Amino acid sequence: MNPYLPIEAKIEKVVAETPNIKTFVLKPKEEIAFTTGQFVELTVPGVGEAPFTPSSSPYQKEKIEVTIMDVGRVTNKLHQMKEGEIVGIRGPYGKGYPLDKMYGKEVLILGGGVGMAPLRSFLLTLLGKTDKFSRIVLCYGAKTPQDIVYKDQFVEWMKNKNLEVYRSVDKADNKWKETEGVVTVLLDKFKMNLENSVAVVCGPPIMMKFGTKRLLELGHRPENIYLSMEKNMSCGLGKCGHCALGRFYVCKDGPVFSYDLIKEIPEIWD
Amino acid sequence: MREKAEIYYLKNEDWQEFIEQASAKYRLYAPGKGLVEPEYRIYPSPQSSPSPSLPLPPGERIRGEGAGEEIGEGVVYEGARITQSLKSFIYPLREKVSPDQPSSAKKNIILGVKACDLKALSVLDKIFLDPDFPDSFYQERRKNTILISDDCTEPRESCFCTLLGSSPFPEGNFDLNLSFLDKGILVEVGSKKGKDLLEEYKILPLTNHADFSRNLESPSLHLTHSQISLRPAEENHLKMRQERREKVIEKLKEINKDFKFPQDPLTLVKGKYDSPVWSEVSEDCVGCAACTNICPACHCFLLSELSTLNSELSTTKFEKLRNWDSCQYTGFARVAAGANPRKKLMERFRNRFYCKLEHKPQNFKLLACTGCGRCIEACQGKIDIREVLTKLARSEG
Repeated sequence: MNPYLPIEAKIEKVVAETPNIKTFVLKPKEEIAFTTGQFVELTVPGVGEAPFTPSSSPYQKEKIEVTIMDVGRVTNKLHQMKEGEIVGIRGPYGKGYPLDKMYGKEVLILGGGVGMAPLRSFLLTLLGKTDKFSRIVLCYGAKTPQDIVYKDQFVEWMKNKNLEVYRSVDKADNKWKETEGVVTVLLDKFKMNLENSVAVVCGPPIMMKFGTKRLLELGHRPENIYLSMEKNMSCGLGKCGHCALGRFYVCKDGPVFSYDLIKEIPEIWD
Repeated sequence: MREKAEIYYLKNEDWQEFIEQASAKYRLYAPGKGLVEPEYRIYPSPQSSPSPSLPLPPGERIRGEGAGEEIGEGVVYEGARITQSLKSFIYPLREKVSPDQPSSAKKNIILGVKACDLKALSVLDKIFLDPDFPDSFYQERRKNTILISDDCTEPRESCFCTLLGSSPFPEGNFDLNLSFLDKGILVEVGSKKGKDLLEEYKILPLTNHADFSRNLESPSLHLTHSQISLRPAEENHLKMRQERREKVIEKLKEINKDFKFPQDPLTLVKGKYDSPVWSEVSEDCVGCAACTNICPACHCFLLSELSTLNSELSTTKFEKLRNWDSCQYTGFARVAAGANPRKKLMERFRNRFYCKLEHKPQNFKLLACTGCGRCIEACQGKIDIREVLTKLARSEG
């Protein structure tokens, strides 16, 4: 089997989430079964390939959703693509969220910006079996109200009795009634049972850094903080070397790491 | 682990006969005379005599000083490793890996491989034959390649394998290894592939009755190979090999007498991450990546998509190239949003050392430096890894 060869996936739907973030609903020719937190490589034919963690629930088998910010060459081209066009997909790769270590515990989800993408997949997974978790708390921060992803779904999530939702924006507008400030301020609004909880963090590097720092200050244990270290995973196969993080390759050993495992590595926040 | 070594003795001309016969079926790569030093060539070369004449009598073996003479005449055995590493045969500089499937090409024999490159192959194997995602292109080529190594006899000024716990003679990964004695050659069998090759040309001594009757039934028994004969190596042959090997180790000691490495190679960079030595030694680095490209153990690559502009093919063919890449380049670790964990040249310089001397040992129990010294010769800034490691050993951390 050729590990570099993608299969075709049709873009079934494009949802504009924010001015620079879109969600693509993809229908691969063959089913790609992933566990939440694993990632795939998407190819824009003739342009390039980039890694994305699906934002959809792994329970949804025939379609995969990816939420993508327009930041580079490949994502820019993706943003110009329309329904009906074909991309390549290969994967899934890496290790996802260790759900079995979270059963029976309080789960705190801390997300920032487009970092909500893998966390939505994770959240949808948890919401599919809420009886397995003693509590689910979601904290999400974006730059402005306009930059919030999954706006419609947040409305539903905020009504969901199995879920506590806290949101903040760095810069509010006059319609914003929730918190203004960086996402870490949300962590002071509730108390977790630190003896029996995990925290799952994904967002831009600066938010990951200060989010983790704050969680540690609040008493979360390093081994119970899970970080999505999404580096430059080019091959996804543990070979090309681009996503090295100390002795690890993020594509194979991650992308989800417990903070405990990587805290001694000098470059983790850069 | 290999069992007791299987070592045979044969005459020079018999080896030559064997290689000539093998080159009819296999594509044979061997170091031949080059302009500056021996270079890998394909034998038999269409331009030259039908087969290589080998080996040359002692004293006339080409050691790189033969500039101007006709190229492609004979295979160069012994000496030291040459500049082109084994890596490029099994993991080429650039390869189309999609949508193509690996092809079962003609089988290759590579001659003239040295211990340092064989050792580096272990690192490449760990990466490309990882059972989770074997690289089918590498796998196929590895399968179709027979490695015939020989003892290093003339280490170069840049060679330092012994400082890293390696040796100038192969300890594994070869299919056959040659040790040249005064009038003959010792052939050590390193693998089933190597043994099969000897058997294919019917030059193994018949060891028991079963083999004998099997061979009687084989029609190929009556082919012309019968004049070639191997016999088990004798005690004095092995002693001679041992003495020669020890002499080479002595030469390496002499070459490297000014460099002081820690006893345990696994501690070469341990605890030195923040050492001021890194800034000092990387001052002359220009970030050209010659060191990683020339390295027999470096494996990093970039997957790139062939532009549809140059292609008549449908846009959904997903044409991908796998090109060697280097952690020494500025953008190697940069992500699309701009974050780059190793922005400074010093950080990239240091990364190479940590990857080779700390991370690979942690992951695979293998150093990803085998002391071949190619990076020393290739460096535009005349940076010598041995000096870097000596300075680090001296520094406080």
